[in-house]
Amino acid sequence: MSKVMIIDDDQDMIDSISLILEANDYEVVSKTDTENLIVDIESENPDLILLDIVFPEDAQAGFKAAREIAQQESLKNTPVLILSAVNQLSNLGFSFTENDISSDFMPVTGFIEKPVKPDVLLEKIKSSIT
Amino acid sequence: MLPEDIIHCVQDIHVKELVKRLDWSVKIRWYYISISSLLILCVYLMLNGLKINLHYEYLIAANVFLFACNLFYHYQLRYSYDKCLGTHELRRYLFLQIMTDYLALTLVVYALGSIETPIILMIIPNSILSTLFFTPRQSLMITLFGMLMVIMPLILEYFHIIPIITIFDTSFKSLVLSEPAILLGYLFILTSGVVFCWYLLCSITNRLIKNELELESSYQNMLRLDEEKTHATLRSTHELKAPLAAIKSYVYALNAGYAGDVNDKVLKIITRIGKRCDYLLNNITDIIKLGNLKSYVVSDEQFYAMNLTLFLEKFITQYRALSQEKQITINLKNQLHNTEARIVANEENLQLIFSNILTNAINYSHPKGVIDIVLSEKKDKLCVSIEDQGIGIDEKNINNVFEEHFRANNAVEFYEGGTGLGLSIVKLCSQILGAEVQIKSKLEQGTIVTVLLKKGGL
Repeated sequence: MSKVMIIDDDQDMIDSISLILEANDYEVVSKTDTENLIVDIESENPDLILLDIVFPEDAQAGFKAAREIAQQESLKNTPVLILSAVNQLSNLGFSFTENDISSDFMPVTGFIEKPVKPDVLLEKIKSSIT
Repeated sequence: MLPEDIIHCVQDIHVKELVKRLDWSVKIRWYYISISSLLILCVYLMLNGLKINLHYEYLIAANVFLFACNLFYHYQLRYSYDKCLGTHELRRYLFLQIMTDYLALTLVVYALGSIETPIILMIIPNSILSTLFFTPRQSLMITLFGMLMVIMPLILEYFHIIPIITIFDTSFKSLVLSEPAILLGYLFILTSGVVFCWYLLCSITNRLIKNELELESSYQNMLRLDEEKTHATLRSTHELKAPLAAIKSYVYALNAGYAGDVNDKVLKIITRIGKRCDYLLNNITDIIKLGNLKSYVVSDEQFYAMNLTLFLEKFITQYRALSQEKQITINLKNQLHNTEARIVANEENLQLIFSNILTNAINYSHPKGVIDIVLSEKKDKLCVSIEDQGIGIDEKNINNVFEEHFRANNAVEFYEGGTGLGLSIVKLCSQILGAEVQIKSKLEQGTIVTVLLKKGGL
């Protein structure tokens, strides 16, 4: 059973994603802030991380967290999928696409648009873990 | 390595300007050395028989001196690029270069008979440089020092410390050197003229520098405000969209049966909740887009050369899924004959224009309909027409379609998810790109929206 860690400040988002993942035999753990991030991730040792971008403490906390995770030797092989309500489909001038993924600026495996479609979520997680 | 390649290492606008001027100064000196050497050679070969007593040795010595110094400055400049030196060091280099020029000019002035040619006025270019990069007091001192250097041969000639050189054998120089009053008068007029020039230059450059600082400050403020606006928009977009995204995620999960079986009545309600969520999500996105576009500051740097054909080919692929839901066929018809579809625009605004028009075409088309995207040309314009066979727009409403939140009755009845903001966004984006939008429509027959973009590259 693969373990997925959801890092999102919105408990409803965590619960709705957990509904889908638990029904598909994933073990789900969650975290609602980015404090003690590395310690918490290392203690849970997830197979994949779902990471939100905007947190109350910082509008770009998710990006910073992704860079922090990528720099950690023990976590550099853990796939990170960014969850965002404000991404490429919004065309708001601060959008990003899969092309923006890079080892230094945006070291993530991919993006998932909020609201989360169950089939898209499961497919992305499956392809990222394998 | 060119200055343009390394200029990124210096952040200060004055340092950038100083580096550019130093580079310019070195280049000008190379041109001067080349041209003056050529002139010396020409004069030597062609005017040897005329009564011109040129002291070629001084002119050659001045050029050799300048050549050696300029070679040094050339490498010094490269060093300053590599080390990313600040204004203090660069000003010192500039001062050194100005002094070198004055020294070489003094020799040339002496060789050309001191007052017999207007070569003495060559101190003015360096005076301009000094007013640009030094304080008024410093630049006055530099100009006066330069003046003292170039009139020094005349003074030394007057006191017979150095031999008198005259190239035209005229009595003018003898007259000036014969009477101390005439010499002093001549020097006074010359110095006053140069100081007056310096005063004019200093006033102009001070005004320019003041304007430049004001511009720089306004630009920095604009950048800061733009960044703040982006952050505020991002934050408000997130705050508005995140709760709806959570609701919609629940709807997806419930619809897919992840919370157990739900009866048809509940499922119908859940589907309605989902549709209302979609409407709100679209509305929020459109309102924020519209707000962003209204405060958009247009500058040439935001635009670049694009190939419209390639853009449209890539653009259409994004709409395959949406069109397939209604089994709508989208055709791209390129009617350009050997014309490269070059325009100056930016992808973000083009995307907003065509995504809103094509989304409307899909939403207001009947299932299994056909949408043609036709690329053609009309004089100096490239035309992109999006033609659908949908519900169309009543003639009486055609002039209102660009108004914010306007929706015709037949549109509301046919598709309830529309926000009435799509064509307002299209209008604003077109204005930003300098494009024109035309709409032709017939009720129950379809709509043709044509975007006319000016052809051309950078």
